[in-house]
Amino acid sequence: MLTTVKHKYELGITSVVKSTNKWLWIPAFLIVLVVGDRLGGFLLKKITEHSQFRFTSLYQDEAACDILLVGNSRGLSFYQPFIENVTNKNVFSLAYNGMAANLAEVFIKDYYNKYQAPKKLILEITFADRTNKELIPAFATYLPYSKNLQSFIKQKERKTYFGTKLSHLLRYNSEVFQRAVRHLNRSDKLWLTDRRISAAMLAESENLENISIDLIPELETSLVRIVKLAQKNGTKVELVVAPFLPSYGSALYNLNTYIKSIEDKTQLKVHNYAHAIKDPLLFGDYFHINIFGSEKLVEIMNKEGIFQ
Amino acid sequence: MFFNSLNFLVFISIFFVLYFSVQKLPRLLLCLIASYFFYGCWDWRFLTLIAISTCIDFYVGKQISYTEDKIIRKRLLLVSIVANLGFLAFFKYFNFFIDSFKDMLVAGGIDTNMDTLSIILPMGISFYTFQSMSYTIDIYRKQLKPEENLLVFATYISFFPQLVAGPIVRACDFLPQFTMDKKFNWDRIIRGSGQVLWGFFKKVAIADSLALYVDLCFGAPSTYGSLHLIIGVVFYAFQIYCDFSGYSDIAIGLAKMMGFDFPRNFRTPYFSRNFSEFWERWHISLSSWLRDYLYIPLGGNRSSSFGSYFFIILFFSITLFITQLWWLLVPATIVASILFWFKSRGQKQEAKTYTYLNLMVTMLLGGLWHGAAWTFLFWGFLHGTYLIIQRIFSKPYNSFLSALRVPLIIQNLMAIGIVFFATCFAWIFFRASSFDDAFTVIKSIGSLADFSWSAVLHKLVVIKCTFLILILVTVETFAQKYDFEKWLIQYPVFRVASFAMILWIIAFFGTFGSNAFIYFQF
Repeated sequence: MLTTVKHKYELGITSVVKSTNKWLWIPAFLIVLVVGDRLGGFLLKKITEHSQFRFTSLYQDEAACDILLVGNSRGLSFYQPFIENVTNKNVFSLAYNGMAANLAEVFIKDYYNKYQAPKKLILEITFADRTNKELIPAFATYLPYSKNLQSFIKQKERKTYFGTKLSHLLRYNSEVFQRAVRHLNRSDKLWLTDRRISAAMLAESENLENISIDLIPELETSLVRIVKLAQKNGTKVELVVAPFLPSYGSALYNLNTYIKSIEDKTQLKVHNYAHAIKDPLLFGDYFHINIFGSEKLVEIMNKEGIFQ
Repeated sequence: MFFNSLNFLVFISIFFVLYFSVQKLPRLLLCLIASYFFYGCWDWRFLTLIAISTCIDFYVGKQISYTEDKIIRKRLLLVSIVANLGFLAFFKYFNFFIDSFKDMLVAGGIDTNMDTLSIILPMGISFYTFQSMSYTIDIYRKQLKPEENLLVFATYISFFPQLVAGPIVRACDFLPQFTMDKKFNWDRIIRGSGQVLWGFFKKVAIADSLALYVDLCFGAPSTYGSLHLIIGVVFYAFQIYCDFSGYSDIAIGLAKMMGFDFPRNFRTPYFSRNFSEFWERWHISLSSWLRDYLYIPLGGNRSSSFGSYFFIILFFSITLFITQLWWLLVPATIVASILFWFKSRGQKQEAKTYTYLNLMVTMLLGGLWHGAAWTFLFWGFLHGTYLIIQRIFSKPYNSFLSALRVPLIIQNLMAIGIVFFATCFAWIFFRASSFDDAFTVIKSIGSLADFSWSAVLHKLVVIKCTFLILILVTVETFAQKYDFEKWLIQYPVFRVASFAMILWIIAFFGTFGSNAFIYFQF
C-alpha cells in the first residue's frame, strides 16, 4: 500500500516537473529573444557609428563645413568633390533620396545644434513637393542620437517609434542602415554615377505632357522655417532648382508658380537651373543628372557665384 | 484583417484563450462566430454570400443522400454547381465576359454601348466555392456522408484560417475532424507556432521585400534594362511562392494549434524536375482539386468528353475573334490534324491524345480560376503546353542524356533549371497587367540591353532579397532531409533558438505595412 502511494506520489512529481519544464521554455525563449535583440541592436549601432555615411558623420561630429547642401535625390546633383574643387571650401551634403522638407528640417536643426553655422546653405527646393511617409521610419537608425528625430518620428510614425522601443533590431531594418553598411569602408562623398539615361526612357520622355509639381503646405512651412533658422544663425541661404531632363522639364507646366510661391514666402530669389542642361546624355533619368551633368552644373553655379 | 496585422495578433490571442476555455458546442460556435467576424472585418455584406452558399450546399447535400434516383441526384448536384459557379461567374467573371464579348463585337465591326458593373470581388470566393462544391460532388459520388449539423458545416465552409486563400480542404478530410476531441496539446502548439512563424518569415521578410522591387519592374517595364528585369522576374517567382505558401503555412499552423490537420499545400515546387512534379508540389490543394473534379471527369488520360472539345473550341474561337489573328487557324489546323492522325494510330495513341486535350482544358480553366484576365488564361495555356511537351519529349530527351552519359546530378540540376526557367517565363504573363506589358518585359530581356550590374537600380534591395532567398532555399533544402518539426518537440534549445532567430530576422529584414496576400484577389 505504502509502496503504491509512494509510486503515485513520485509519478505526480515527475509529471509536475515535466509539465513545468514544458512551460519553462517560454520565459527562456522570451529572455533569449530580448537579450539577442538588444545584443544585435548594440552591434548594429556600433557598425552604424563606424560608417562614413553622411548621417553618421552628422551625429559623430564629423560634418563641420562651410557649405551645407540639402535636398532630396535631386539635391545630390550638387556633387561634393566638384564643389570642393572649385571653391576650396569644406562641403557637406545632407541630401537623401526622397527626403521631404519636414524630415530635412530635423537634420538641419541637429546640424545647427552640434556645429558652428555653415557660411552657406544650399537648398534644392523640389523637396517640398511631396511628403514621403515611407522614408521617415527608415531614419529610426539614428533615433539614439537625436531628440529632434525622436519627437518627429513619434509624431509622424507612432507604430515605428514604439516598435523600435520594443525591438532594437527594428531600428536597423531600413535602407538607411543598409547605406550606412555600404559606406563602412567607402566614402559617402562620391555618390554620383556615370549612368546615362536609357534609350527607351529617353524615347518615352518625348510623350510626356502636363506634369505638375505641387507645393505641400506643411513642407513649405518647413522650408520657410529652415530658411529662418539658417538666417538667424548667420548663414546665407541659396534656393536652387536642379536640372530636369529637357523634355521632362518642358512638360512641367507649373514650375514657375511653384518657384514664385516659395520666393514670396521666403523673400529669397530661387536660382532656377531646371533647363540649364540641354544634353540628354548628361542625365541618368528624368530628374537626375549624372556625374558629367553635375560637373557642368557646378561650373554654371560657380560662375553665377552661388558658392561664393 | 490580414494575418500580418496587429489587429489579427489581438484577434488570435483572444480567440485562443477562449478556444481552449470551452468545449464542444460553445467551441464550435466560437469558431463560427470568429470566422464570420474575421471575414466581416473585410466586408460584412459578403457574409450573406457565404451563408447562402453554405445553406444551399448543406440542403442539397442532404437531399442527394436521401434519394437513389440518378436523375434527381444529378439535378440536385446541378443546383449546387450552378449556384456556386453562378456566384463565382457573377462576382469574378461578369465584367471579363462582358468586356470579351464587347471586344468580339467591336472586332466584328459592331459598335456597342454595353456597360460593365462595378463589382467588388468577394475575398476568397474562389476558395470557399471550390471547397463547398467538393462537398456536394463527393456526396453525389457516394464518397462522403452528408453532415447532419449545420453548425459544423457552416464552420467548415467559413473556417477563418483558410477561408480567404486556402488550402482548399476537402470535406472528407475536414468534417470528420470536428467530431474528434481537441484538448490543449502542447506538441501541436509548438509545431503549429513553428509553422506560423515560418509562414510569417516567408510573407513579411521575403515576399513583401521582393514586392517593392517587383512592383517597380512590372509597373514601368520599358524604363528598365534587361538584367534589372531578369532579376525582377526571378524575384516575382519567389515573391508569389513565399506570399502564397507563407499564407498556407500560417493557415495550416493555426489549424494545427486548434487541433486540425490540413494537408500540405506546397512542397518546394522550384526543386521540381518536370512539370508534372511542379503541379504535385505547387498549390497542391488546387491542382488535386482540378485533377479530381475536372481532369478525371473530362476523361482523364483514357477518354474525352464533350467538355474537352467544347472548352478548347470556345477558348480558341474567342481568342480568334478578339485578336483577329486569323493566321492562328493555320497552326491550329496543323496541330488538330496531327492529333487526329496520331489518335487514329491505335488505342495507346488515342489515349495519349485525350490526355493532351484534357490537360490543356484543365490548365486553361486553372489559369482562369486565378483571375478574370486573358493573361491568366495564357499562363494556363503555357503550363498546359509545358505538360504536353514534357509528355511527348521526356523519353527521347532522357535517352539522349543517358547516351551522353551525363551524371545524374547534372541531369537533375539541368531539369530543375529548365522547369524554373519555363515557370518564370509563364510568371511574366501572370504578373503583367496586360499582354503589352508582358511582351515589353520579354522583348527587353531578349534584347539584352543594359545587361550590366551598373544598370540595375535599387542594388541594396537586390542584395538583401538575394540573401533572404538564400536563407529560404537553404532551410527548405535541409527540411527535405531532416524533420524540423520533430526537432522542435525533442530539443527545446533548437526550439528556442529557431523561434528567436526567425523573429530576429523578421524584425531586421521584414517589410511592415500589412500588405495583402497576393492570392486574396483570386
